[in-house]
Amino acid sequence: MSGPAPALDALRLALVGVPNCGKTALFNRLTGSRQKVANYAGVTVERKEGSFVGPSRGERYRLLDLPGAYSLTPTTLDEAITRDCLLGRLAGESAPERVICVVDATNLRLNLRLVLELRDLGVPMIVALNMSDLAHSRGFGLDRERLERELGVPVVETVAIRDGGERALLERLESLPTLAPRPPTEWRESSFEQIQQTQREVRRILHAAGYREPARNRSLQRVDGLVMHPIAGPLILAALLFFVFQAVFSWAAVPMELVDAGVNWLGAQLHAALPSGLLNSLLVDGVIAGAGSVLVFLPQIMILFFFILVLEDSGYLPRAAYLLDRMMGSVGLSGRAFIPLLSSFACAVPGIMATRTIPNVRDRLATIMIAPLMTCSARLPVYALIIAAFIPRQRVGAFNLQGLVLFTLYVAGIVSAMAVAYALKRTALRSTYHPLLLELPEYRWPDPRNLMLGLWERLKIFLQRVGTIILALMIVLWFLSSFPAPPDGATGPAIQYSFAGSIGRALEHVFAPIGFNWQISLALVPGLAAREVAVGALGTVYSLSATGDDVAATLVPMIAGTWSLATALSLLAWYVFAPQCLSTLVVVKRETNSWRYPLLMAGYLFALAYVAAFITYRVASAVLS
Amino acid sequence: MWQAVVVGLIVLAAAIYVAWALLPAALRLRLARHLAATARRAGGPTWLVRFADATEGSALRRLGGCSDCSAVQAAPTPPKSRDKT
Repeated sequence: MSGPAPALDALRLALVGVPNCGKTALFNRLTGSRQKVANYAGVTVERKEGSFVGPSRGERYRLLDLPGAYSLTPTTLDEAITRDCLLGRLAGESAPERVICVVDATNLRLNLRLVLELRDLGVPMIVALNMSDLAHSRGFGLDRERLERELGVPVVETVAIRDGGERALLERLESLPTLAPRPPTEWRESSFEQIQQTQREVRRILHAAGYREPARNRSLQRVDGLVMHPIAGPLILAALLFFVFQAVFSWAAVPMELVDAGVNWLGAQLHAALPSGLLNSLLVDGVIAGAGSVLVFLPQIMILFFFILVLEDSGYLPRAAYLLDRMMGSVGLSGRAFIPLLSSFACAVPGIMATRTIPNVRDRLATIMIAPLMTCSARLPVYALIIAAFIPRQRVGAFNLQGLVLFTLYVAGIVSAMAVAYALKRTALRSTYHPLLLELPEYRWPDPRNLMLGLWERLKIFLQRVGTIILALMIVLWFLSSFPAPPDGATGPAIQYSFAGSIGRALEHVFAPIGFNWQISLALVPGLAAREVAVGALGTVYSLSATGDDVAATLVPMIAGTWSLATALSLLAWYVFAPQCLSTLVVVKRETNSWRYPLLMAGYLFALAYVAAFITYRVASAVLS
Repeated sequence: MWQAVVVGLIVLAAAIYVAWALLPAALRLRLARHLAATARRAGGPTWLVRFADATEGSALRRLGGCSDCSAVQAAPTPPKSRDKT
C-alpha cells in the first residue's frame, strides 16, 4: 500500500457508499494506491486499508475502503462486512471515528437511503458528492448548500478521477470535530415501515434541495435497445468475444516473435559467454529455456486483458450479465453468478471470492464448484503453445484458424461449466431460482489513463510471477532434470537418468492411456503450482532432452516434431478440465470453511480431465490413423 | 568447482523460495512471526532483524485471499444485484 505508514494514533476513516459510486477511485486518490476500479458495482468485496496526511493540520488518517452497500441491512456477505465494520463488530477492530459517505451525484435517489441510515448512527460524517463533474455536464440540478442543511452533515463535491478532485473533501474533513472512540453502536435492522419512511424522507430532501434529473441521452437509449435486445444482444456478445480471441492470436504474432527472438538471442549469448558446465546449463537450459518460454506469451496475455479492461470501463459487463441471466437460469444458476464466473477467466481465485455477492448458499457453492472450468489466463500459454505447434497459421474465410481453435477451447470450458452446474443444481445443490435485478451503470468511454494503469499493473504482475515462482520452479526442475549424472556408457540424453526422468516415467504409467509421454507427465506436476509453469517445464525438459542441432530449436518446433496430433488434442482436452492450481483449492477451502469441497472439486475435475483426454486421444488416433 | 558451489547455492535458494511460496498463508505467517521474534530476541544483526520483519510484512500482505493470486488486479469483479422480491 502506498502513502505514509499508518500511525497507531491515526484517525480511522471509513469510505462507505452504494456500489459503483467511486469509493475505490477516491481511496486511490487520497492514499495514492492503485486498487482496482471499474465501471460496475461490487469491485470491492473485502475491506482495504491505506493512509494519508491532512494537508493543512497534518493529521494522519487511516482510510478503510469498504465494500459497497445499498443499506445497513445486508443481503450478501460483502455488505455484511461493511455493516459490521461500521458498527465495530469486526474482531480486533473498533468502529471508524469518521465516515466519508460517497454518493454518486448522478444517482442520488438510490444513494440517499444509506446516507440517512449512516447519519442515524451518529458518527461524524461527510457526504462526498462524487462524479459531480458528470452531474453538471449531464444537466443534473442540485442545490448543494440546501442539501447540506436538509441532511445536517457537510456535503462536498468531489471528482475522484481528477487531480485535485478531493481538495474540498480534505478541507471539510479537517474541520470535523475529533471525538473519543465510540462504543459498539446499538443498531437494529429496519422494518419494512421504517424503510418506506426513509424512502419518503429521501424524496422530501431531494425535492427540498431542488434535485432535477435530465432526460436520458437518446442515442445511449438506442445503444441499450440494441445491446440488450433478446436476439441481437447475445449475437453482439458472441461476436465481441469472438473478435477478442481472434485478436489475441492475430495481433500478438509480431510482438511474440520479437520476444521469442530476444529470449533466444539472450540464451545464445549466455551459452557463448559462459564456459560450458553446470552454470551454463542452469542459465541456458533452466532459466532461459524455462522462464523464457513463458515470457513469450506476454503479448497475448496483454491483449486479452486490454479487452477485459475496455469492457469493464465501458459499462458493458453488467449488460452481459443481464443478457446471460436466462441462460444461467436454464441450468439453475442465478445471473449473479455471471461476473464471478467472468472473473475466473482472469483467475479462479478472485472469481471464487467474488461469489460472496451471491446470497443463496447453494447457488454460491455451485458457482464456486464450476469457477475452475472457466479458462483462466494461466491456461492461455498452454493453449497457445499447442495451437502454435499443431494448428496451421491460415485463414478460414475471414477468420484466423488458430484464433478459432482458441475460441472453441474457451467455449468448451463454458459449456462444461454449464453442464456441471446443471447436474449439481438438480442433485446435491438444488435450490429455487432467484431472479436478477441489476443496476446498470451509464456507458462511458474507457479512460486511457485507467487502461494504461491496468495494463501496467498486469505487466508487473506477470513479470513478477515469471521472475519469482516460475523462475524458482524452473531452477528446481533443472536440478531434478540434471542429477544424478548419467552412468558411464549411457547413450541417451542425461535427463533420462535424472530424478525428473524417473518421476516422469513413473507418471507415464498413469498418463500413457491418454497419450502423454513422460515429458508431458512430468510437466503436469509443477503446473499444479501455477498452470503456465507447465510450459516452462516443457521448455526445460525438452531443452535438456535435445541433442546436437535440436538444442538451438525453440519449444514450438520441438514439440511439433515429437508429439502426435492426437497427443496434442488430448493435452488440450486435459487442460480444459484439469484440476486448478493449489491456491485455488486453498481458497475454496477458506471460502467454504471445509476440505470437503476442494477435495470434491479436485476429484471431479481430475476425473473429467482424464475421461475427456482419453476419449479425445482414442478418437483422434482412430480417425488420424 | 566454483560453478558447482554457485549452482548449489542458487538451487538451494530456489528450493527454499518455492517451499515458502507454496506454504499455506497461515503457516507462512506463523513461521515469519517466529523468525522475526527469534531474530529480535537473539539480538541478531540489524540486517537479520530487518529481513525477518520484511518477511513477516510480506507474509501478511499475501494473507488476504485475492492478494494470493497474481491475476487479481486485472480480474473483473461482480456487480451488486438485488432480488426482485
